[in-house]
Amino acid sequence: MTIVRTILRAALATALAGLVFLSLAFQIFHPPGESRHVSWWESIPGFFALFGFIGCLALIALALGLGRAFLRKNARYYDDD
Amino acid sequence: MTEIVIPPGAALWAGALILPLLRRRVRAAAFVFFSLASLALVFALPDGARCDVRFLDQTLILCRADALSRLFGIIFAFIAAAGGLYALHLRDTGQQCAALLYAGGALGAVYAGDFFTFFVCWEAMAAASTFLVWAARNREARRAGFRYLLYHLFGGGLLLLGIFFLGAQNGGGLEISAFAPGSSAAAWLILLGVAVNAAVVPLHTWLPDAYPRATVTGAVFLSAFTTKAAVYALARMFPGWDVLIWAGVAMTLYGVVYAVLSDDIRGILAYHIVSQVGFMVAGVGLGTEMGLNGATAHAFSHILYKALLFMAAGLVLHTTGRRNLSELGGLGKRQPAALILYMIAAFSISGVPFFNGFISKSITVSAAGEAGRQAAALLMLLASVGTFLSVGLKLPVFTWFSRDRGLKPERAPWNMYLAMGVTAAVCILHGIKPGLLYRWLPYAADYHPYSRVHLSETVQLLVLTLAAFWMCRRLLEPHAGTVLDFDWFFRRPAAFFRFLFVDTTGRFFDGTARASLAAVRGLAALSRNPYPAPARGGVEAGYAQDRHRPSTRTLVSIILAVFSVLAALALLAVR
Amino acid sequence: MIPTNAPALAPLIFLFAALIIPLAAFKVRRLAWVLAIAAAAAAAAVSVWNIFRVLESGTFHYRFGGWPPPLGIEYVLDPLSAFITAVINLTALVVLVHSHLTVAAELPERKHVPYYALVMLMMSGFNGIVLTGDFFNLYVFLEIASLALYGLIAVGDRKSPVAAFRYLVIGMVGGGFYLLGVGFLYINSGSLNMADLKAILPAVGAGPEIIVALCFMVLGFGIKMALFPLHGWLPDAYTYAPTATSSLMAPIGTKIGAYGLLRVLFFVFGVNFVTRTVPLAQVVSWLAAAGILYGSIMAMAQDELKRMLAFSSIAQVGYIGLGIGLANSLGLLGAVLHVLNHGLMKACLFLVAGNFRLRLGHSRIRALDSGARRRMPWTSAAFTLAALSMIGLPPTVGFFSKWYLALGTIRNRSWVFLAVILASSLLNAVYFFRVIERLYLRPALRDNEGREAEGRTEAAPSMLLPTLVLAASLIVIGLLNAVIVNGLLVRFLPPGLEIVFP
Repeated sequence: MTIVRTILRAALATALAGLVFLSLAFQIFHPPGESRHVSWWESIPGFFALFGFIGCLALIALALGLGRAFLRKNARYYDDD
Repeated sequence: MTEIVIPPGAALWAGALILPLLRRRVRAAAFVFFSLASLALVFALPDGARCDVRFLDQTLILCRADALSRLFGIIFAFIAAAGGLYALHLRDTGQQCAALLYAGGALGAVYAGDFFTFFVCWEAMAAASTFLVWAARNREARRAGFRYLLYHLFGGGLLLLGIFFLGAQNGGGLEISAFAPGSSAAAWLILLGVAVNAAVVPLHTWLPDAYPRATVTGAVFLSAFTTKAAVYALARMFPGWDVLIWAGVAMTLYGVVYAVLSDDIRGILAYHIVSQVGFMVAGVGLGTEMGLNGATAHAFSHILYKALLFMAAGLVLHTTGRRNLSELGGLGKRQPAALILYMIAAFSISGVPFFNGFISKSITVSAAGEAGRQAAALLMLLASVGTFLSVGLKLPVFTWFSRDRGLKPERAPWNMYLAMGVTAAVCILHGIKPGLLYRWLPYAADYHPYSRVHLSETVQLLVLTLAAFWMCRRLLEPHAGTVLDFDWFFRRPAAFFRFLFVDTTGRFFDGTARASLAAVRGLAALSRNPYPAPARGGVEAGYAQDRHRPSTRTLVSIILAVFSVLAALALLAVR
Repeated sequence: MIPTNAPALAPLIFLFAALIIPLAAFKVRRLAWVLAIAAAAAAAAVSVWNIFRVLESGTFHYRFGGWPPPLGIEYVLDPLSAFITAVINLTALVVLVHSHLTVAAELPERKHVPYYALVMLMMSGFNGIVLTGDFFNLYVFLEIASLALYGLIAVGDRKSPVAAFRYLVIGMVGGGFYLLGVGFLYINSGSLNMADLKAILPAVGAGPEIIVALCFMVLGFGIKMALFPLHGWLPDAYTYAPTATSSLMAPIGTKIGAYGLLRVLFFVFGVNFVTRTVPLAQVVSWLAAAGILYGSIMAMAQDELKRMLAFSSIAQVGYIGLGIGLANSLGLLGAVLHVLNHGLMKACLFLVAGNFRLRLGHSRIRALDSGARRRMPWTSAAFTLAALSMIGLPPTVGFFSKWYLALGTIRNRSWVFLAVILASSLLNAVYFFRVIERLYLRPALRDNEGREAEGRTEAAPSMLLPTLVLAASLIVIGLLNAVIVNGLLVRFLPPGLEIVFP
């Protein structure tokens, strides 16, 4: 069972990676023309990939950091009300 | 022109009155019927139709139809029907009537043409939705419901105050129209009142407090109406107010961060509502046609996929009895249908192509870019990443996958699956044929989501977020516990405040009595009349009628004291 | 004959009824209630008719025995007194219908006939106070009403004699203050007639005696209307009195005090005197605002429904006092409108409490649960509607008085008072929704076999019907509030405060 699962996972990962490379290729070889209003970042190939990756890590760090710092309490915290 | 214009909400309110009179078995079906009837009324109402009624020297505009109202009307009526289908198994007439009143109020609010009607519908929504929280019938829900009610009455009070000011300054004209940005105190007060319902941070804590504690079926309704009616109000009355852009952006990030931290699955979804509504608020704040299109399209799509998310979460709760991620896991094998339906909603909310989030959410982000608000656009993009992270990845992974806790869920009623299926179908339908949604937007839509540029950007964003999540999935293991939010400020000291209020009143009374006796001179010691309340327990505990009764002597001396002071003041103040 | 006697009819009808009832019902006890209803109906009809006559022809003056003032006693029927007498007589009629069963249940048989006689005396007193144009006559009727009321309270349950006694002492102080005020005014003017005094006072000026007289009278009325902090007698009186008494007292009694205050401040002394010369109106408004907050907060602490409603009444009287204290046309309109609106709401609420007491055996809040609601669905629904009205949800009556009061505070730019009004809605929501939540959502107690407590069901028709009529009126009269204000109330406004709508 687990072999099937591993193969499926690998296949999925490959497919997704393939999509990303395809999109990167598209961005490099067909940059958006002047007719469209573009924000500065849309002209950078791979910007979104980087943004997604770093952004996700940043959010996780922020959330966990805040949580550890003071936001997380035990479930009974408000129980005297 | 002489045709009768029926406000669509009337069908729902009529249903609320009629439902208790029907036979028990028919009620749930009748619910769906009335919702569909109101949907028919929405479609039958031509743009520009009005229903005016004279009252109190005012003209009340019970119904005023245009494209904006129609969009909200369609989705509200539809989701009422879907929610009714989801709740077909319910035998609780109270909840059914409350839901009808709630939905009817929402429809009434989006079609109201004057502030008075709007306010009535607003308050009806608050009262009816509170009932849906209380209907869970446990201690937690009771207390959360009270907080919810007070919060909404407070918001309603601000709204009313604004309406009073508006009436005073306009000489009585109360027709709803857009306010010029930053114009008057009345406008700001109304904005604040609406902002409470829109869950603008920091006035949002009622949402994650009450929604997870509502009933399984009630939460579906709650997710759809209150916040979106507020979005409608913002779009109608405050387009182009800059402050909304920043409020919205703050909401998007705030909600997402808290969603990552939360443990209760409906709590995660609740914080998500804050985040998604933030996109809509920002879109309204931009004020451009594209921004408003984005806000409204997003509202429409969001109602659909959020309801579906709550339906799925509710199903998990209903079948396993568990609500926290830390207690769930491994359900995928046993509830494949629920998982698939959930993932449809999750893909929608994350903006995966071919689902309705993809065609609506990005309108707002593009609108921000086009309006020159680059920072806002980037931050909203970041929030999209977070959305996918928490609702698209973390929630399903830890509910349906990850460690198997050997849960044996019961069977869920068929109507739940049907309702979820119908909603999911619409999500996919709009995703594939976006024109179906775009033709209902208030402004002509010139947006083409399926450009290769857009597709490639989205693919990169999503896949790499997935990659980052996968790397960190150990870190994101759910912890049991609560997360502090702004409501700390009034919940933690609540007991103390109660003590202070009652005790202070008592001490003042006591002090006045003492002072008056001393002034009268030569009377015996005052009998004690404290009104102590213990620090724990509420205002009620500790008050006993017989112990806390001031003596007659005290009362008379207070009268004499008041007279003396009054006469002295009057004599001195004579002009 | 009748048309010219119209102003005097209502108090006289009640007075005669008070005399006839003990005689006629000597043998047949049931006649007492029937005669009481008949008298109330007749008085109500006369009062309503009076309204229409005043609208047609303006103010009426009636001189007893044809003696002109200042020698004789004059009764004045102007829009204000016509309105208030109509309100109190109609309310009394509805409540008296309800009282039949509660009096039978709560009082020993031999007290039924005297009870109704006292009720008639009390109503006679109230009507007299509102209609009279003579200061001393007002005192006479004030005492008649008060003494009757003390008796009506004292026949309640175990603690009622104490409550009645406390009220007696404090009421006597109030009456005494009022009389002192009248005396000071008389000495300085030579007349006891209100209209006369209004003409004479500007000439007399604002000497210390006049000012102290005004203070005395304000205090006297303040005690009667339970203005904070003179309210101490009220909670016990409302709680321990028999159901019928509290249902009569709550919607009517305190309003009479408010009427007196209004009349003296604005129709005798005049708005300039009480706002500029001696800033008494401002003091009244501050005390009223404090009362609003105090009453609402204390209501949250109560376990007994009637006591909660008593503190709520203190708050609501605060609204009326605030309207009076604002001393502008909108405030006064709101205050007088609230006499009607609050009368309806409180009467309905006290009738509900009476229904609960009779059927459930108690009116304790913490003992209410959805079992109570299942047994008494209509009563619970009436309570909910009245509660929503107290909170101020349109289109119920409660909203409209708040609307006018709020506009009045905006006119005066008194933002604190505006905040107090809105905050009190929130506080009202807390203590009312507590009860509603219990009635609709708290699971009923079940015994060991899982059965709910058996018990008698919904209140009897003679009790339920008045309750429902009042509940329905909360919406009907709410929708008609505009008509009432524009058609009738704007005419009562005293000179100097004619209506200037924004």
